[in-house]
Amino acid sequence: MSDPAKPLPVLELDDLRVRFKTDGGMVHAVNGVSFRVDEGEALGVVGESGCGKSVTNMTVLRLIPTPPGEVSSGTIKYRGTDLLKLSAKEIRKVRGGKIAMIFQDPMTCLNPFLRISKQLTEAILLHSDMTPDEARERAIQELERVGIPDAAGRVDSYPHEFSGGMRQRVMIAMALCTDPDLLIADEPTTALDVTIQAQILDVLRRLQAEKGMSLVLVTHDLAVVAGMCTRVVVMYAGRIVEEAPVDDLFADPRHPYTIALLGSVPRLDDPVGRHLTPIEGLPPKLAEEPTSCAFAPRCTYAFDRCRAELPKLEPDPDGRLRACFVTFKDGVPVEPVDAGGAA
Amino acid sequence: MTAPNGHGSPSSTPASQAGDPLLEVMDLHMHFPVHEGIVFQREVSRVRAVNGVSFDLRPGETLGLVGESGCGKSTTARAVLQLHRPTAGRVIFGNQDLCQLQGPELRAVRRDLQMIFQDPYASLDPRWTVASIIAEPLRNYGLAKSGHELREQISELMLTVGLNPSFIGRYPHEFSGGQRQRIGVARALALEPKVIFCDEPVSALDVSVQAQIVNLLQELQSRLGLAYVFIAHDIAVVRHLSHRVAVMYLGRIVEIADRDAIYSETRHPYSKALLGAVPIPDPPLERARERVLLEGSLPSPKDERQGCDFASRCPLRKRVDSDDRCRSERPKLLPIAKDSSHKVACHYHDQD
Repeated sequence: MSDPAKPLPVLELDDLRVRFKTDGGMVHAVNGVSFRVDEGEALGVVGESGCGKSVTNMTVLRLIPTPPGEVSSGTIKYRGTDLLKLSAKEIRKVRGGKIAMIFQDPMTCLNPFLRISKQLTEAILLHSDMTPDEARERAIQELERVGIPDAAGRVDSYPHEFSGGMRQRVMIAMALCTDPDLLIADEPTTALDVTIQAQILDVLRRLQAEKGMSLVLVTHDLAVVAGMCTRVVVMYAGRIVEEAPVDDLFADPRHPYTIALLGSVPRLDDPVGRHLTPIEGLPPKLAEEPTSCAFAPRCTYAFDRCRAELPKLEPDPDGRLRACFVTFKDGVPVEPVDAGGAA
Repeated sequence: MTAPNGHGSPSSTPASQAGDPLLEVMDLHMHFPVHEGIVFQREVSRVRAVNGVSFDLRPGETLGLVGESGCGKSTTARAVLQLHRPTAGRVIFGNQDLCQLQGPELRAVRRDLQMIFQDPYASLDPRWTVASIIAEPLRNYGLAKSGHELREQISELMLTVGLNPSFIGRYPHEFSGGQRQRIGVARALALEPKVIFCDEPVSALDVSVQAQIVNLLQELQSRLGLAYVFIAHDIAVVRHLSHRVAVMYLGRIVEIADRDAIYSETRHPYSKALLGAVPIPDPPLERARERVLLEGSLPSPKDERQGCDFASRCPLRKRVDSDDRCRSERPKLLPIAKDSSHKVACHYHDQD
């Protein structure tokens, strides 16, 4: 905000590393993740279970229990302030205030013993100077905004009186009642049916446009990202393997993992009889920080260098970022960037 | 009946033209009573989970069953297999009505009807080795004469589903989700069934692994001539695997047709909303898409309605149903044209 030429990003992660001490030894969940989220932007974070996408985003709000978790390096800057340096008290101001988060399963995130009104006003009272009555008004407004019919009548209901889709709306209302300028949504529709998913995504899309809020959408579902986001980062084994504007990523994926992901999901508009290409093998265990490409063992195009060296997330000539030694065009390898017999 | 125009897909089995049905389900009802009272329990209402479902399944065919949670697709599968005893209806398999069978007779039929479950973590006993899990059905039916033979059969089954037979002594926790689901598939295959009910077999798996299981199921079908009833909420996966698809809403089939027809000539307003809600991994297409968002939520399966179950949420009814026929008369599942295999339960399915 201070530099008129280039506005500060809302959120900027730099070389974030998170590891967990477990009975089975160290698990390196996040291994050098850097990305930024600009004002009003919707960023998609895509990857399979265990790729570190949730840990990364939970670390932003310092929701990782320490111990066993530990941030071993990196910075997380929210409008220039490093969130990792804030005291517990200071981070509480930010968490659920300017940065809000919603999770996959709305039932486990709402307290079953408290009325919705109580849970919503709690957040509002914590983050504003409103009186309880004003806060209640505000809560009703937010419930209306996310499309809960008869919000004034239902504000005193308990969570179990709502359906799954309605509970997720309550969660969104709760996240939005403090006017956050960044919303982190971690698999917000994974537990929901497709018709409900469409409704929830519609709510998110509308609210984002209305409030000019930035959105980080964490999901394993590429199709959801396609309709929601402007930019996407693809994660694998705790690292970003590709980052691109959404249209480019789908039209011209440049990392073998992205290509493989797109090839392994059936689409509703597929030509009949397309063969699915599964990704053979399994993601690595992450007992050590990777020193070579973590995807190489499952990669069709890997060559010697991939098994010896860690590819960095670097820009292509046109500015697209990817971490791979092989060059792809329209999903087909063109040549190894360096000498080496790929593909 | 028209065969799906097949470029070898989803498998090369010409489904819809094959002769007699293997399995016929007629007017199946599965109601669960709701009791009240602590000492004197009285029935206060019934949850009508399955409310008159009829379909048939031909040899080597995959019938996809789609619908939202609570629409009764899993209960249908369980009622057909007599895991729940249906309240009413008939399930004809090999000239017998399964609903009438008891004990040993039912047991004999169950050999031909197997099931694969959703959660590969919950459906395998953690204290059993792979060998004992796969051997259980074989032992139950006394199909192996000696321990050596049993081991042989287990190894063969493991190979069939793409598991390394040297893992025969391992426990479920030593396998990944995808491998566990393969164990589940091996167990289902052990008795060489004719029909496998797959209840959300890939929903708990990561997308890259999901494709492995989908391909495995397809490959097994073309090799062994299995018929599947494939239940899933992932409509793209169902489309990929099925020859025919049935859409369920509130315990009833509202539309059933050949796979291509149901996606390209969708007739029922609920099917349209359901298919329209599935996101497509193509950004320009997604942005350009017109979405019909359903309003309201699922009515209670406890209430009994006179008319169409979908009427309260139906975008079509608002435009065309001037004389309130949708509220007063329940639409029957009828062919859209004479002799068509495409059936729909809507009074106004020919209107847009």
